[in-house]
Amino acid sequence: MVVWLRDKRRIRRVGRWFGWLSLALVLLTTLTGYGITQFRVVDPLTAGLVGKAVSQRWHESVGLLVLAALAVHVGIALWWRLRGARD
Amino acid sequence: MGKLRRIAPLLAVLLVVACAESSRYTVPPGSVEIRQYQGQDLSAISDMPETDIAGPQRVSLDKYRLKVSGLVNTPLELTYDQVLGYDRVTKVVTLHCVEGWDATILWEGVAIKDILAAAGVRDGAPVVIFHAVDGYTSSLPLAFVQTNDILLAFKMNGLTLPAELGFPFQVVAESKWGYKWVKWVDGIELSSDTSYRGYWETRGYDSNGDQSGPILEP
Repeated sequence: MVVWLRDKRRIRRVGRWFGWLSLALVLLTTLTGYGITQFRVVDPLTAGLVGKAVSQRWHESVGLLVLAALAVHVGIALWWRLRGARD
Repeated sequence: MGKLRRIAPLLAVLLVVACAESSRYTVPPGSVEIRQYQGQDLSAISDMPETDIAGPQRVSLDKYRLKVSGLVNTPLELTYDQVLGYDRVTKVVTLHCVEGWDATILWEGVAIKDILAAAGVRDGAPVVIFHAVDGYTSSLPLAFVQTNDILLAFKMNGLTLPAELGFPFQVVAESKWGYKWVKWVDGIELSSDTSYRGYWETRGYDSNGDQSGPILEP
């Protein structure tokens, strides 16, 4: 893994993955948020998979993951920008 | 002036939305909502979101009866006016919803323990199950209902409960999460089933519903 990351462009690629992961988690947060307050719509739309209680559980768990993924994404982007300015 | 003309349609839309929001609940014309009680600010009724499992219920008082059943000596079927005939209690209680909002409301109602006393609770009935007209149910321990003066409310902030918020009666289950505050109550059942779970409790929410405890079952 460390060897693979020696190529700086790969680190940037990981940063992009974390960006997409952040987006997916934000969408999940939004969906589960609606699943809590608009359960009469979301529950049937997801064939009962995302009920109110499931939404509540996911919504509470996903918050820190969003922040972590976003921090990695922004951190790598900043690092790349600063590195570019230095080189 | 040109700028104002450009944003006028947006302002008009916002105004319509605001008016729709502020008048979304059925309140008798001419009635005035209490917004402060003994120095304490109260939430506006219009700020409370609708939370229900089957949409707002319209209850006709002609046919309405509050049934008290289960492990009681005398099953009761009370009309709206008969319930209002019990001693009235007024208190400010904050409803905390699992959805993340809360509302501090002046509730007026009757103590459920008075209704239960009239029915005569038999031994071995530690659970009070509340039934609503839309099929919703939830339960509270009998000891909790009796020691905490839990109300069956018919007024909030001085106004009769709007149809959208639980008319004719709502349980004021203070210190419990909002899903324990059953609206549109039409039945109180005394039960020996300590493992009973209501509508949301069977779908993963904690059966105690204590605000100090977990929201969801582990």
